[in-house]
Amino acid sequence: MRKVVRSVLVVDDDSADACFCEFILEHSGRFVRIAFARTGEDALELLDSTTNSAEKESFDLVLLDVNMPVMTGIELLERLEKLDPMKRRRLPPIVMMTASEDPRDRARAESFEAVRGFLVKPLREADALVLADRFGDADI
Amino acid sequence: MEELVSKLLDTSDFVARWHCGNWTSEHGWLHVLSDLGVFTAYMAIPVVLGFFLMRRRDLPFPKIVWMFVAFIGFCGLTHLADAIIFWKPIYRISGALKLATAVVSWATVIALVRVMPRAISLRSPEALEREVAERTRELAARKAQRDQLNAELRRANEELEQFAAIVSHDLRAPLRAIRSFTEILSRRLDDKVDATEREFLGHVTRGVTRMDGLICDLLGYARTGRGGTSEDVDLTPLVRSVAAEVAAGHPEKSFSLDIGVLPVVWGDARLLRQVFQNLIDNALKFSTGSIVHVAVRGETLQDGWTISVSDDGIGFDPEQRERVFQPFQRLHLAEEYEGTGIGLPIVRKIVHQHGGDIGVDTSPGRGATFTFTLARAPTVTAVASPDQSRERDSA
Repeated sequence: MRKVVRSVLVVDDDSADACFCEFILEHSGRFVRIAFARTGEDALELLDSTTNSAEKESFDLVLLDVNMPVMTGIELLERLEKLDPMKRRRLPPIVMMTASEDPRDRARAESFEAVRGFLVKPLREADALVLADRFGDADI
Repeated sequence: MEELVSKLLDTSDFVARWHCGNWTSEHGWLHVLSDLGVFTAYMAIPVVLGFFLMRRRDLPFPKIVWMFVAFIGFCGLTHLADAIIFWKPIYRISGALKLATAVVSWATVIALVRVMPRAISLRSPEALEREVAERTRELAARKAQRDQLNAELRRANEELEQFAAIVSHDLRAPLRAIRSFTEILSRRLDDKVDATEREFLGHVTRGVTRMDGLICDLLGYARTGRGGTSEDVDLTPLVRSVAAEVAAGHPEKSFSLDIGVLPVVWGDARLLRQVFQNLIDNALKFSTGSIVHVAVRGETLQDGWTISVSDDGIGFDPEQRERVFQPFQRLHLAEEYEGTGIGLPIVRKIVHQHGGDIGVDTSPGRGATFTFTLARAPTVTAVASPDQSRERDSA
């Protein structure tokens, strides 16, 4: 059964990476709506507001870059952990992205409860399919 | 003189002092008691001095002090003799005692004069204390200097770490963009470009891929050995598993591994694994035919171990022995053999961190034998020691 992700949030400060990510996700045909945040602050604001109530349109998946200026991906995760439990429960699954092959980055990111996966940039087409299969819903 | 010696104890020629002249009782006893007083005091002084000398063996010029002990003692005895003479006229003994006192006293004078220059140059306790204080200050200053150096070294290491992070993130990001989009473009334009243009696009992709690989390797090299730990490492299973892993990466080669009796060494398992990985991978990469023979041998020495990895590959000119251990030094074209030239420099860095060294015995077409040593007490804890910046490779 084909699965699609209805709404994904890509958090990446690098416009080329974000653009390439968009291309890969779009190209797979398994991602319906792709939203972007260029900074950790923007992402925090977005996630904070979309977890306010169950009715508001929320994201099904977040792709989060580890290395970002001002608020890094890790710092964003720390902030998300401090949200009230109600909101925390409504947080979408988060998959980290990094260009670094340093295992310490990965270990740190994976210590957060909300983190469900880890991808090495640049994303491959196969990554997009795996993401859709894992985090998507049946396409009807 | 002879008469003095032979009749030393003879008192018959003299009269006791009480009977010689008109002594009043007070006057006589004044002499007797004073002499006894001087005698007892002069005996007490050597006793105290002697006690002091026995206790303070570090005292300067102890011989002189012993002479003082003797001369004061003799002086005391002459006074005792004077007191006795009031009853027993031991004038001969008294004379002999005075002679001995004179001799010892003059010997003391001569000895004193002799040591005078040295005694004058002796530093007083105050001067010594001042000197100790000054040395203490100097030591404190030196310690502060060393602490500062350590802090600077730590800061330099942190900066290096930061620099590595910047390189890995900021330098690779644009590269990644070039690479990703060139790939998309190549694919999209595939049916619109001619052979030459396709070749150009291929060069762009390969160039960028290679540069990304170089940056990765450089970072890997810079990070090698950070935060290592030491433990007993059994090389036999380690080499077996590394060899199997490396062979899987070269499915086109038929690989025969000959492992001798390998020791259990002391070091960082992860780093030692990398050493064998790089050496065996090189053996497979730089082989002549499709069949590769690799032999690993080990020997236990008194202060460490010697390990060798030999292959029957293409070998190289022994003149290039140093170059192969330098980062990014390659002996072949990129098209001939892939790799960036960081494998052997990393190997050497790790070996150095284990307190050993590495060398190679080779000639063109005759294979290569890399032999390295590991120290029994390695220094793997290295926080990047400052003199580890000179190293090499071939891979």
